[in-house]
Amino acid sequence: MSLSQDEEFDLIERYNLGKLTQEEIDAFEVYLKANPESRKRVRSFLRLDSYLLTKSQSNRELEEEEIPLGTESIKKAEPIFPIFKSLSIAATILISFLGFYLWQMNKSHTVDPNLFRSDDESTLNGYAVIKHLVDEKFISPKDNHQVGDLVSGETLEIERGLIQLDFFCGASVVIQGPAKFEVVSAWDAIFHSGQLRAVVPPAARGFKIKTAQGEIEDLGTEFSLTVAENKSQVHVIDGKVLVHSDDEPTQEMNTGDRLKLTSAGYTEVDPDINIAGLDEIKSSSLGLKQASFDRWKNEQSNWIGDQRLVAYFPMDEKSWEGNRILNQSPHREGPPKDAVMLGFATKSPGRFHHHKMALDVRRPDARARVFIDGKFEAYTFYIWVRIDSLSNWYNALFMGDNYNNGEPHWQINNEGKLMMSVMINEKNREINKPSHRIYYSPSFWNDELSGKWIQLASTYDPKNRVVKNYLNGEEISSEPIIDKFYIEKLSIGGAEIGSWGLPFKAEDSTFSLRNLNGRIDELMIFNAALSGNEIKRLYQNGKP
Amino acid sequence: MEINKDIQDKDELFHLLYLKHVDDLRAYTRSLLPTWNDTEEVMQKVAIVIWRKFDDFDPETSFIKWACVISRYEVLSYRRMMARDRLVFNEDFMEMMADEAAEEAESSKDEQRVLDSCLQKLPEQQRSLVVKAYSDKTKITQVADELGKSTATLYVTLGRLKRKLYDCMQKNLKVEGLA
Repeated sequence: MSLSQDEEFDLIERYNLGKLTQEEIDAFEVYLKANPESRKRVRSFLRLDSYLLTKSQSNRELEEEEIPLGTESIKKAEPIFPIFKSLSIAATILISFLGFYLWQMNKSHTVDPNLFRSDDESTLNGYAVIKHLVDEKFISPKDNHQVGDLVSGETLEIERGLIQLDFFCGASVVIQGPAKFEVVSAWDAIFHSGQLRAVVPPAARGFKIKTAQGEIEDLGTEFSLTVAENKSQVHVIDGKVLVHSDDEPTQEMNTGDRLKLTSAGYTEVDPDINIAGLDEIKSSSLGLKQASFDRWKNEQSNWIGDQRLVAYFPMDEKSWEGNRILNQSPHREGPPKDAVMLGFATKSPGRFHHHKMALDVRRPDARARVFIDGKFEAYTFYIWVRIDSLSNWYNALFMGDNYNNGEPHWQINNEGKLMMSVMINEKNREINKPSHRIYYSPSFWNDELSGKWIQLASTYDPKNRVVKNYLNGEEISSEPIIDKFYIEKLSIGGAEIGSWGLPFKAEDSTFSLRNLNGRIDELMIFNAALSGNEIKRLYQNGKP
Repeated sequence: MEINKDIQDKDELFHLLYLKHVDDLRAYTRSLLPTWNDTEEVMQKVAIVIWRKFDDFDPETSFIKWACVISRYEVLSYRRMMARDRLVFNEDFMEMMADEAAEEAESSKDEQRVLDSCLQKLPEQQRSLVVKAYSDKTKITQVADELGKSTATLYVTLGRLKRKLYDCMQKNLKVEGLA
């Protein structure tokens, strides 16, 4: 393959804008790898962008001083990076600011965090995050940990398996069970027993792991550590570490060095250390993703023929065609129920990593539209979502366009309550009388759920007079449908997935922001209320 | 050696070198990342790390090369973070690009110098368009309004001007025997 210079620049710009598919990126990468001159051109072209920005900003300031511009708006336009508006001044300010705080940070890692935090800023507790888990069995904590959990001052004890912990200082530690490991701070840990491997990038220099026999201080390296029967063994795989102990002088160890630490002192050894590194744990973890993905695929095949399933968007490899997301339930009658992606709706990796993609609706104008005709006796909405934040008052999951009688709205409010509702009497809407009833779940959201895949479901069952909400396969609320809010005839019609972007009135283009700040990985719509057991089974066999 | 011997103070030396090379370093970082936001995010981190590790810097050696090593590390870890929710190049390819870009960083000043003369050669109207668009990039619609053009047309014009400047820059570097 040979590309013209213009084609190369066009590709890199489209890559930068996130407009290339995975296949296109892969092909472009292969091309660039084979063509050093093209790589050089691409870099130089991007540097040009940087130079133009810098020059324009300094030019602009000169122009503004010399020739007053008539256009007020231009003068007041905010620079893209206010911090660099005036490069020399900003940099000096930046540096004088850094000079103070970083000097302190450099001396110790105990900068008062309140210096950087305003009072009403929301916070989370943690010194490290669990990046990967492979075949793990926890002894402590008893309720286990999941990938993405934050770990603050606590002891992790595993009977078997591998854990990768990413400390906020930048160090990554892979612990191999059986092991007992205590997280003390973002910079310190105590290793009671087991085997581990630590990768400490330059930014995390000074990361320390204590054992009963001494303390290993890392100076930007990779090392492994085994602790058992009153001895610790250190092997520096790459770089440099310092070993401190109460009784011995500090010892410097370099690449390839191996030391045994006992109460009697240090001895050089040839330990037989074979602990998974970061690449290995990642591939094992990806292997598990494959297993979960296969399990889901298998479960999915059981449902596709289910007569109750009206629309199904698994968003798997067969589901994407241009800007359409194909409905995978067998077509019975009426117009096709495929969804169309609009605005800046994009595809992003789904809950099984790159095994399948998900619908990304983070941009306010992003949405997917669908038309589902026919009469319903009951509803079940079942979805997998990854929410970054509940940034809007209402965050849409699945919303009937007009919200006329019998049409559903399914969303989450900014308190984190799941909201299932159906319009009962649309005329009351105009005269401010109760027109519908919202069946809320208790608030299930907390910031720790941000960025994690969760499953939500709601069932609306007029026949049995009950509405239920579910989170991760478990029922979280159940409420009766009283006479006043009873409706028999249900329907959907035009609807949106992940947003509710239709303007309120034909003559007014204003619309409220209800897009879900996150991704949607799978959506099932049933003309029936699934049982709690069915939802649990879907969750169990569909979790990542 | 690029600095005067009697600058003893760490702060002063840092100011001097950082200010002298920050444009080159930003261009290096920009050439490896998709957007300006990404670049600025990484640059802020890089500034912090450079300061923190400034004691390790040997003033007898090249500051920009040393700073590129730091930026390289930050770019790669930022790529890993981006890879969670964006489609990005593979790590090994990024490493290749980062290493080659570091080789080019020392000629960044030459590129900027020839670009200046290329900008001067542009007709005034085109030059001021580029300057306006880049200094008010977030308000590109305003620039378009002011010129009575659609945003799309403006982007096409800007794209063409950018290619023109690129060609001019390469030609001049070649003439000077620098490319």
